Parts: sequence; structure tokens; C-alpha cells
Amino acid sequence: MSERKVVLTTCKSCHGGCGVKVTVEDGVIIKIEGNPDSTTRGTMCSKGLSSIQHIDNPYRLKYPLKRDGEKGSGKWKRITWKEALDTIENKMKDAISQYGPFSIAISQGTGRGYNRYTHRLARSIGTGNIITPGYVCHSPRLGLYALVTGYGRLYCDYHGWGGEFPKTHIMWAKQLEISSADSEMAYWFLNSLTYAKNLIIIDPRASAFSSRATLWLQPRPGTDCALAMGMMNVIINEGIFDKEFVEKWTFGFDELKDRVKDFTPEKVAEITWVPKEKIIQAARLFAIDTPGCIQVGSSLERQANCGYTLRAITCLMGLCGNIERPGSMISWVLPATGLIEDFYLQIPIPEENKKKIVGGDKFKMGAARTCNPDTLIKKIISGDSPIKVWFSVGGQQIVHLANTNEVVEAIKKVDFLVHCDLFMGPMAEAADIVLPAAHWLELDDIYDMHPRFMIEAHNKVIEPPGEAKSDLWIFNEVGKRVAPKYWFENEEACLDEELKKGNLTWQDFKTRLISGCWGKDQVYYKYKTDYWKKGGGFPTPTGKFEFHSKALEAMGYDPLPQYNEPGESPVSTPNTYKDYPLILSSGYRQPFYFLSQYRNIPWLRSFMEYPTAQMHPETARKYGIEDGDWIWIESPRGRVRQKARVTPGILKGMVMATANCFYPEEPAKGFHGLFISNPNVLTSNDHLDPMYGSPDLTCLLCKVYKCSKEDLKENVFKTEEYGFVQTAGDEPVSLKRR
Amino acid sequence: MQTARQWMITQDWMVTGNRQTEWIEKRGLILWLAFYTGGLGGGLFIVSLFFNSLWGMLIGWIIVAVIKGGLHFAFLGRPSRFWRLIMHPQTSWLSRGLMFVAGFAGFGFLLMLASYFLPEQTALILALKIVSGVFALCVATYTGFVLNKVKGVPFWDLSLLPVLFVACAILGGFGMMTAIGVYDPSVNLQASEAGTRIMLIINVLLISLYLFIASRREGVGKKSVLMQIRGSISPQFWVGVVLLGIVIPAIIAIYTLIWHEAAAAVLIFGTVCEVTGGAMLRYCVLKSGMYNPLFSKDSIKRGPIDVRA
Amino acid sequence: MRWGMVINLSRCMRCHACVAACRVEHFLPLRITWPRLIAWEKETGYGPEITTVPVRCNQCKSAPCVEVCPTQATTRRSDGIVQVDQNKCAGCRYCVIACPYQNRTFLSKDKNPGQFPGHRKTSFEKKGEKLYPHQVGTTEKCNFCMERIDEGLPKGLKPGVDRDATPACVNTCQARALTFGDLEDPNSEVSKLIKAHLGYRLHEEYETDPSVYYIDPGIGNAPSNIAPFEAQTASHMPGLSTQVESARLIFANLNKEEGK
Ligand SMILES: Nc1nc2c(c(=O)[nH]1)N[C@H]1C(S)=C(S)[C@@H](COP(=O)(O)OP(=O)(O)OC[C@H]3O[C@@H](n4cnc5c(=O)[nH]c(N)nc54)[C@H](O)[C@@H]3O)O[C@H]1N2
Ligand SMILES: Nc1nc2c(c(=O)[nH]1)N[C@H]1C(S)=C(S)[C@@H](COP(=O)(O)OP(=O)(O)OC[C@H]3O[C@@H](n4cnc5c(=O)[nH]c(N)nc54)[C@H](O)[C@@H]3O)O[C@H]1N2
Ligand code: SF4
Ligand code: SF4
Ligand code: SF4
Ligand code: SF4
Ligand code: SF4
Ligand SMILES: [Mo]
Repeated sequence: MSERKVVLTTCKSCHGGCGVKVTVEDGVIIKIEGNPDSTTRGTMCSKGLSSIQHIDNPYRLKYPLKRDGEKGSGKWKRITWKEALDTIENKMKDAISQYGPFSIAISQGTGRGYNRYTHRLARSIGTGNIITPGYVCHSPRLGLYALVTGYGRLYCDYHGWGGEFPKTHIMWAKQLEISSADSEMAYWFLNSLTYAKNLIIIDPRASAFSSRATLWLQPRPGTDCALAMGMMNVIINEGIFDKEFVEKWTFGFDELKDRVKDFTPEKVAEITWVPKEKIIQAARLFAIDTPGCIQVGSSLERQANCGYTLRAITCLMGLCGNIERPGSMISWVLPATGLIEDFYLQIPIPEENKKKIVGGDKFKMGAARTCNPDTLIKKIISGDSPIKVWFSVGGQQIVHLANTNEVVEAIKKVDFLVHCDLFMGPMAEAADIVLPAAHWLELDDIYDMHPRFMIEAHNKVIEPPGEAKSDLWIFNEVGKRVAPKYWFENEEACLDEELKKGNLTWQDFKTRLISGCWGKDQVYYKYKTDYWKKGGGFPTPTGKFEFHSKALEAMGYDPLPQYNEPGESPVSTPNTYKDYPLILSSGYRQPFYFLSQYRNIPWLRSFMEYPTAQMHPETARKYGIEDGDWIWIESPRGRVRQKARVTPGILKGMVMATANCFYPEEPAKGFHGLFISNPNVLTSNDHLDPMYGSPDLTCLLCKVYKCSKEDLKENVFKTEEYGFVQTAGDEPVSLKRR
Repeated sequence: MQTARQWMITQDWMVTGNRQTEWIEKRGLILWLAFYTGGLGGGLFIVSLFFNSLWGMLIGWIIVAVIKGGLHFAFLGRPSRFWRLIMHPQTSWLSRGLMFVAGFAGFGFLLMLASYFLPEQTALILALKIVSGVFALCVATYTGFVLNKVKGVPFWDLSLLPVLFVACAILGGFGMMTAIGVYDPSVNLQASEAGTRIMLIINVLLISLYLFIASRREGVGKKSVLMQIRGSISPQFWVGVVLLGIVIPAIIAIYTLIWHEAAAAVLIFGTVCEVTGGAMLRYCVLKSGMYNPLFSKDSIKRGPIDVRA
Repeated sequence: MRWGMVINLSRCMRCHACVAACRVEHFLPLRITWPRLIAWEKETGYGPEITTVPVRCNQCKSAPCVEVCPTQATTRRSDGIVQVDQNKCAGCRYCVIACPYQNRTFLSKDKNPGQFPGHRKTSFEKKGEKLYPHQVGTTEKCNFCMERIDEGLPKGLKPGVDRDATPACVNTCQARALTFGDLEDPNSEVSKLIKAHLGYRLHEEYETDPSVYYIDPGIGNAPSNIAPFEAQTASHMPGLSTQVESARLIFANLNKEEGK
């Protein structure tokens, strides 16, 4: 008789957060479904459900590996954990003794629930050179919101805990419905839509609800700041802003008024290509139908004007009083377990060290927590890299940083690179040592939800394959060796430490599953209480909601939002525009991929076999391209192949390329097809945001043309539907080479 | 499966209408032959009845009972459950068809036995002739109804289809008869040639009429026709159906009409052409079977809300 | 009792979760998908209209597939679900041809190459072969998760209301674009939706009388944005909220620490 058990846990096949119910029979997972008693009410997306195919996945890393040939040769030798950890320990200690702790870089990818360990490890070693994609993903938002709300989080109130749902939703460069768990969970947003009066979508490309939304604005990529200023112009001129709030609680209104006065709808229409009527309507809806909230997408952060764009949008929120009121933007009260970041904030980076952060001198906002990857890449290439050891846990910098050609050159140059991952991929191929990580179904850990009003538990469901270990274990082991004082005898001790503020132990928590603060426990209108400041007010230098930011001023930035053209655009580089007559944006998510991941998951790969570049029928016709054609997308940096997706749902004269892709089935040489379709081959790392150093990833120039037969020689073009594992033989290439 | 090699499994599937594949592609070809041999065998048997050609009956019988039956069997995903196919004659034309085949096989066999061993039993033979003849006719016809039943494919649900199939079957029958006649002196060649001519004319009329009606139907029906006339299967149509199935036999027919004499080889060649032509006709009909798109143009009712502000 | 589904076209966001859920629920062979999504994109007077139409077996009341099935492997249950008995199906594919909505797939060998073609079977697949066998050579389609319904009803569960008796795709849909229930019960959620939003069915002119309805009520224009009591109190998470006071303290500390 076979025995079954049900395990409740939390999915993190994306940023994570959905409550999950897993059924196991004789140690084999036979079902994954949503857990109805969770904040996501038992719903799940295709990625989470397909997590079953991570188990027994032939691409999984099972043992620590040591490189056995030049970088990218795909030659590997299996080693023991001891050998791996000893090597890492020695390399790190040597580097520290010779060059100091800042010669060590700790990196991760996008948030996968272990951010705090990355930061803690770095800080415990004493380095501020932490590499994350944060600067194109979320950090600008958090940092700039922090300028008005303190600890840096301002989220859309989709929950109705204060009695109201948002009346007006703005999805600004955001498709939360499929990029779920980025900021909020899709389910929360979709649920609150039921109570919405208006949905405004600001996106050059059609997202799921565009054609049914109240309003759909299609701005020229990279001009969103101007759009926001234009909306404020309308709102101020029509006097429909929240007078009481502006009067009582804001600082610098007159300056703002002055700053946006030139941004008349006419002028903005010219800059953004959005019809003037729509700009006016959007402004009115947001100002009149309050409460409203703005869901900001990271496409805005993948632009070199991101700092000011986000400032402008924040001001727009304040202008309409859509701050801290039920159904607007709010900074959530934390659960009893407190702020998860405390786990590393406990170990501050000494001020004098902040200078040593790569790029810290230039990108002061970004340097608050991390170094600037693009600057680092340039430094490594020019040979004056301070980095001797790069410890990478998750994250495909080699795929996701701008200008892949330079990035690959640089990463090959890194003296000693350790990469820890679930699967063999480009970053791993460039590493000296590869460590096998456990999947979320295979580990115990705490999951930190973006909005920070709750944390959840990952409960181990099955054993990891081979010798794979949880990230926590890996961090802790490395930590114990290089900074014993800050690390723990085992994982559970670490988890207990993280939970202690809530007087919880891991053992309690794993059954409790969640520690959160919601319903009547949430506090709205914090600025009217002495929550932030005795006697009320905002946690800012002026105690007000700052249109004019004192903090930015102090750092030498413009205290008010300002519009700047993208580094490459019809306006800023008219000559390049002649040869590259189309606007290129490389930011849009597919519901069934997570960045470069899951092309090795058959169920998910089946939904969209190849990365696609969307373009309008007119654009396509102009270049003789038909739906489904393989096309070259070329920019001054290089060219890549993607499949043309001709759809009316996109702005004319632009191309929207699928971001972050490589082909797991392609051989290690060439880093698993890294150069075939990855749009970062096209992107530029020369023009960066002054505050965060974010490059233009979503607003560049390109041209497109059809591929010839000869252009399609690689395996991927030959493989049969889902046959992608076969090309790698019975055992995938990357593993066979052991 | 539609999803193969598409950029995304949702893309366009059934938006523009797409073809039936199960019954014509890959192993589906077997079914196509099964359907055609049914017609051919049936047709030949009927014709043989008139000509009283035992050979004709035998060959027709073999084509239906052995070849057609075998092909059907081979086509099944679960051949061991062959017998279940007759479980639902109330509504399923496939069940009925299989019964016709069975009946035909039975009575046809008896008829041949009778006319071989007891030729003097004229009454019995006549009875058997009528019964097996009717069965043969059904065998030749039912495939028409099988396709006719399919609601989703406008090109198929024309009541003319069964008629077309029978006509084409009889034509094939005459063709085969002629061929047999070349070797079996008991067959009246002139008569069978005459029959061929008549059937040829009827076929030409029916085919053109059919295409005409079909092309007058809503979007997809027309598409099916275009597919054949100038689309992906136009070679099969023009070479197979028209040239082999009609033009060449017609030339031969006219030739024989004028000179009353034609070399055996020519006649055999003509037959081969007619048979292939018939096969290609069925092929084109199956291949161009295109479904109505899942939703008609206006089935998604509302556009975006206009803005009130 | 007649089980039916209402699909909200305004809500479906093409996320494919329903497809994945069905694959998990029924251990579907790699190249079989019971529910499918159709991308419908066209220019209109208003500008581009982007719609996704989720389709699955309509469980037609007068179902062509039932009519043409020569083996009686396909039958219609009293609760309206059209079911295929894999032990009776002879694999003639007549139903595949006859379904005017193309909701049936014939499971040929090549449609079941294993989840990682050319690679050993995963433990999940091996289990699946026992728990939910798929016979090569027979025909398959969506069955409205009748296993769940049949298990749930005796336990007194209400399909469409209680998850354990509700189709997997309906449960997982984050957009709540799918609603399941009894079409013959005027008070069921489905009946109400159909009534309120003029639900329609695909190709009614075929007179197949499908049990899957489509509505397209649009987005926005909600009469009120006031949150119902359950939402305000997060009553679906009883007692899980942890208390606030300590959070406030943390907040205070943090401002000091970060020097903000
Ligand atoms: N052109 C362009 N470039 C972009 C973007 C864009 O839109 N356009 N997006 C940018 C953004 S927003 C981001 S966040 C980055 C994304 O950058 P990345 O975070 O690098 O995204 P992935 O490519 O998914 O790399 C994640 C890696 O971590 C591994 N991994 C996943 N989960 C775990 C885990 O739990 N433990 C361990 N050890 N490893 C794990 C995965 O196998 C994968 O190899 O890309 C950025 N780059
Ligand atoms: N399924 C899935 N979910 C994910 C991810 C994933 O890869 N897959 N990635 C995760 C990560 S790391 C992140 S950062 C988030 C990102 O999630 P989102 O913030 O939603 O980012 P994208 O989907 O890349 O872009 C959102 C929209 O911005 C539009 N856009 C592009 N350029 C511009 C522009 O210049 N202006 C305006 N107004 N719009 C523009 C695109 O058309 C796209 O529809 O998603 C997270 N969630
Ligand atoms: S949205 Fe994210 S957390 Fe939820 S199921 Fe999908 S992958 Fe998992
Ligand atoms: S799960 Fe819901 S939203 Fe997602 S594709 Fe299916 S029906 Fe549409
Ligand atoms: S949709 Fe097709 S398969 Fe489903 S019942 Fe109707 S005819 Fe049969
Ligand atoms: S394939 Fe099976 S279910 Fe379909 S008609 Fe034939 S026997 Fe019936
Ligand atoms: S109802 Fe059940 S069987 Fe039908 S598509 Fe949904 S999950 Fe699959
Ligand atoms: Mo991101």
C-alpha cells in the first residue's frame, strides 16, 4: 500500500509567494496545486505548477563540479563538497589578506528569497561589492519611494483592508497579471480589478487587458518621465489635485508647478507620441477617480532616466493624495517577525568603505547597497578590476547585463568565479567551480514577500538530487569558513535567528506557514499618526511628502524630476536613427518563462518554443517580414535572431524583443547559444542613469531583416517540437562532459 | 497536432480555420485508401452484376472484403477492438458502414458460390444478386454519409457528396470492367466502354457542380475549393482528378467511340487512370476538409469602453 | 444537474496556468493538451483588440462525437459530462474528425515521447502511468475533471464551490476567468453569470448545445470600490495575522539605522 502525504509550502518559481499544496506518494511528487488558505487563495501560474518538471530534470546540477578545460569549454570534473568549500575558503582568504575584503564580489540574480543571505555574506566578509540586477529591477523604486516613506516600500493597496479598493488603476510599464510576484501578486491585483472603475494601461505593447482597459496609452519607449510631467501639468492647471494633502503634507509644490509648466499636453504628445486627448483623460481619471494606485513596472527601471522618471511618478501619486489612503499607494506595516532585511542590516557597511563600492562614487543612490555591474564590467575589461573572487549564487549576469559581448569578455577574465545554480547554464559554464543548489521543493527556508507585510515558509517536500544543497546551507558553510562570527552552526539556528523578533522558532513557523500583518491590523494614513514622526508627518528631512527632495539635493542631484531623452533615440541620436530606424525595447515577460529560465522545462517550452520579437503589421510589411519568420534584430552593438511575432497590439515603428534568453540544449561552447537570441547583445552599457547607473535596456534603436536559410544552422533550429533534450543526447551535453 | 513548431500554442489555432489531418495525413492515408477501395470494389461489383462477370464480382468482392476490411483494421489505434465498431449503428455511419461491408461480404460470397456451383438456380441467384447488389451500393455510398455528418467542415456537409462518391465508384467500376473485359471475352466491351462514357460525363457534371456549390458557401467552404483549384493541393486536383481521372479517359473514350477499336494496353492504361483519378478525388475531398473557424467574426461582442472623464 | 463552465474573455490573460493544471491533474502525455488557448488579435475601429479564447471540450448535450462513435466508447453521462472510455475506444478517430470544435486528440505513440524526449522517464511520469494511465491508440479530451466531481459529490462537496470537487483549471486560474457549476440550478454562479452578461456559446448554429459559455463583460465600471467585510478582515486567513506593535518598534529602529 502506497502512503500519501500532503505538504504545505510556498512557491518561488518566480519571485515567489503563492501558497502551495504538494501531494507526495512514496517520496514522489504527484501533484502541485494552490493552497486555498493562503493570500493567493489556491491559484497558481503555469511556472509554479510546472515545478514538477524541475524534479528529475536532466539539466539539474547534482554534484559540485570543477572546471577541467578553458572557460566555456563545458569540460567538468566532479569534486566533493569539501574540496569545493576548501578551495573557495582559501581563494577568499588569500584575496582578503592580499587585497582586502572589497576584492570579493558576491552576486545573485533577481530576488529569489535568499537576498538577505547574499547581503549578509558580503557584509560579514566586509565587502560592499554586491552585484545584483536590482539597479534595473526594483531598487530604484524602493530607494526613491524611500525618499518619501522611509524604509523604502510603497505598494498598491489591492486588499481592501482599509475598506476601499482602488478606483483607478494605472499599470505603468507593468503587466502584473503575468509578472506576478513582482511587487504584488497577480491574484491580488486581479481580484481588486473587480472593484475598479478605471484601468489605465501605459504600455507601447498590448498587455492582457489593454483592449478592454478604460484607457490605453502607447508611449514611445523611454519617454515616460515626460508623460508623467504632462499629466501633472494637466492636473495642476485644471486644479484637480488633492489640495488638502498638498497644502498640509507636501514640500516644494510651487517648484514642481514651475517645473512641469512647460510640459503641456501638446508638447508631451510630441515627445511621447501619445495623443494629447489621452494624456488629458488619463490625468483626469487618476486625479478625480481616487483612490487610485500606480503599479510601476521595471521596464521604467531599465532606462537611463529611470531615477527621474520614478521621481515624477512618485510626485504624481502625491499630487493626487494617493498616498497612504485605503486603495492607494501604501507602505505596509510589518509582521511581528519584523523587517527581513534586518538580518543583514545588523551588519552595517562602514561609511568609509562605501567609497570602495565599484561605481559608488558616481551612482550614489545605487551604491547605498550594491555596486554598479556595468562599471565593474568596464573595469575588468580595462584590466583594473578590484575583484579577485566572484561568488555568484543564482543569477545569470552573463545573460542579463547590457552588451553581452563585453560582459562575456569580462566574465572570462575574472580570476576566480564560483557559481551556484540549479541548472547548468551560461554563467556556470564561465565559472571555475559550480555548486548544485536545491529547488524550493527540496529545502527549508523563509520566503520574503516583496511588500513585506508577510513572510512565508518553504517546507522541504522531497530530498534534493545527488549532493545538491539549499542556498542557505551553502551560504552558511561559506560564511562559517570566512566570517565565522556572523554565521550559524546549522540552517535551523539561522532561521530561528531570523524569526526571533516574532518570538517564533523555525519549528513553530514551518507549521504556521506565514507571519503577516493584514486586515484590521494594518495602519493607513501613517503620516497623520506619530507612526513615522511624533506629531505626524513623513520620515523625510522636511517631515513632508517631498516634491523637492532634500536628500537628492544633498547628493547633488536635481531635487525635482527632469525629463531626459534615452541615450539612443530618434531625438537624441538622429544619425543613428537613419541607419536603425526602429525603436527597440527588450523588456517584456512571458507568463511561462522566468527571465532566461525554464526553456528546459518541456511543459513551459511547449507554450512558446522560441523567443519572439513583436512588431506591428505595418512595420513588418515595410521590411517584408511575416508572422513566424526568423528575423535578425541589429543594433550598433550586434545582432540576434528571434522569431517575428506580427501583432496589431504594439506601437508602430518599434520592435519588442524577448529578453533574457539562451538555449539549454545548445552546446557549452558559445555558452549554450547565448549569442543566438539574447537581446543584451544589442543593448548598450555606455549610457547610464545618474542615480542608479541603470542602462537603457528598454529604449534603444535597431533595424530588422529576414534570416536566410544559412543563418539557421544551430541545433535549436533543427530540433523537433520539444525534442530539445535529444540534441544533447541521452544525458544532456553539459552533464555528460563530467 | 496544430501546435507543432508554432511560436506559441495559442497562435492562430482555429482563428483562420484549419484542415482535418487525422484522416489523411501520416497513417490517415490508410483510411483514405480504405474509403476509396470501398467505393471501387462496390462499384465494380455492381457493374459486374449487369455484365454477369463472375471475375468482376470476385475482384470487387476481394477489394472490399479483404483489402478495404484489412485497411480499416490496420488503421485502428486499437485493432484488437475491431469488433466493437459495430456497436452503435443507431447513429454512427461508421458502424453502419462496417455492417454493410459485412453484409456485402456475406451475400456477395454466397452469390458467387451459387452462380458458380448451381447456375440453374436462377431465382436464388436473382435474389442474391439483388441483396448483395444493394449492399454493394451501400458500401460504395456510406463513406459519403460518414463525411457528410461532420458539421464543422462546410466542404463536406453537402448532400451531393454521397452521390458524387457513388458516381465516381461506378465510373471506377466500369473502368475495371473494361480492363477485365480485355481478358474475359464474356464481357461486352462496347457496353462497358459506353458505360464509362456516360459515367464520365456524369462525373464531370457532378464534380463541377459540387465545387460550384461548395465555393458559394461561407468563407471556409470556398477556401477548401481554392485549395484544390489553385492552393496547396492543386497538383493532386489538376493532375490526379482532372487529367488522369477525366481528360485521359475521355480521350480514350472518344477514340473508342470513333474507331470502335483500341489496343488492350490503351484500355488498361485508361482504367489505371480512372482508378487513380477516383482515388485522387477522394484524396482531395479528405485533404481539403477545412473546419469553420472556432468563432465567427463578430462572436466576440464588445470593443473597449469609451472614456468618460 | 448539468455541469457547465463560464469563461470570461475579458479576464483571461493568456497565462496558460489552466493548461499546466490540467497536465498536472491528468498526467497528460507531453503532446496532449486538453484545454487550449486561442490568440485572437485583430484591428478594430477602437484600435487593436487582443483577446484570448480558452477552449476545452464543450460537453455538448447533443454531441457529434457521441453520435458518431461506433464503439460507444464516447458516451454522455446523466450529469452532462461527455466521457471517453479508454477501454472501449478502438481508435477510429471518427470523433476527432466529427468534433466541430476540434477538442479531441488521438493519442498516437509520437504524442507520448516522455516528458524529456530521448531521456529516461521522470518519477512523476512513472507514477502517472499507474495513477492515470493513457492508452496509446485511443482518443482523449477534457472530461471536466469528472474524477474530482465523482470523488467530491459523495463527500457532500459542491462542484464549482468546493475546490476538491471543482476542475483543476478553474481552481488555479489567477484571473478567475473560469467559473464552474450546475447550469440547471438558476442560483448557481454560472447561471447567474450567463444571465447577467448574456453568455453565448461557440457555433450555436451547429445545435450541439454546448455546456461551455463565454462572457465578455469588460473591465472597470464597477458600481462601487467598497471592500466587502471578508476582504477588510482578510477572513480567509483566520488568526494568521501577527500583531502590530513590535512592527512599529522595528520601524523606529530602522530609521535610525539607515540614517533616513
Ligand atoms: N535586455 C534585458 N535585460 C534584462 C532585463 C530585460 O528586461 N531586458 N531584465 C533585467 C531584470 S529586471 C533582471 S531581474 C535580470 C534577471 O536576471 P537573472 O536573475 O540572472 O535571471 P535568470 O536568467 O533567471 O537567472 C537566474 C539564475 O538563477 C538560477 N536560480 C533560480 N532559482 C535559484 C535558487 O533558488 N537558487 C540558486 N542558487 N539559483 C537559482 C536559475 O537557474 C538561473 O540560472 O535581467 C535583467 N536584464
Ligand atoms: N512570468 C514571469 N514573471 C516575471 C518575470 C518573468 O521573467 N516571467 N520576471 C520578474 C522580474 S525579474 C521582473 S523585474 C518583473 C518585471 O515585470 P514587469 O515590470 O511587468 O516588466 P516587463 O514585463 O518586462 O515589462 C512590462 C511592460 O513594460 C512595457 N514596456 C517596455 N518598455 C517600456 C517603456 O519604455 N515605457 C512603458 N510605459 N512601457 C514599456 C512592455 O511592453 C511590458 O508590457 O517580472 C517578474 N516576474
Ligand atoms: S506566480 Fe510565482 S509563486 Fe505563484 S505559482 Fe507562479 S511562479 Fe509560483
Ligand atoms: S488560467 Fe485563466 S487566465 Fe490563465 S489562461 Fe487559463 S483561463 Fe486564461
Ligand atoms: S466539444 Fe467536441 S468533443 Fe466535446 S462534446 Fe462537443 S463534440 Fe464532443
Ligand atoms: S476514436 Fe474511439 S472514441 Fe473516437 S469514435 Fe473512435 S472509438 Fe469512439
Ligand atoms: S476541466 Fe479538468 S479536464 Fe477539463 S481542461 Fe479543465 S482541468 Fe482539464
Ligand atoms: Mo527583475
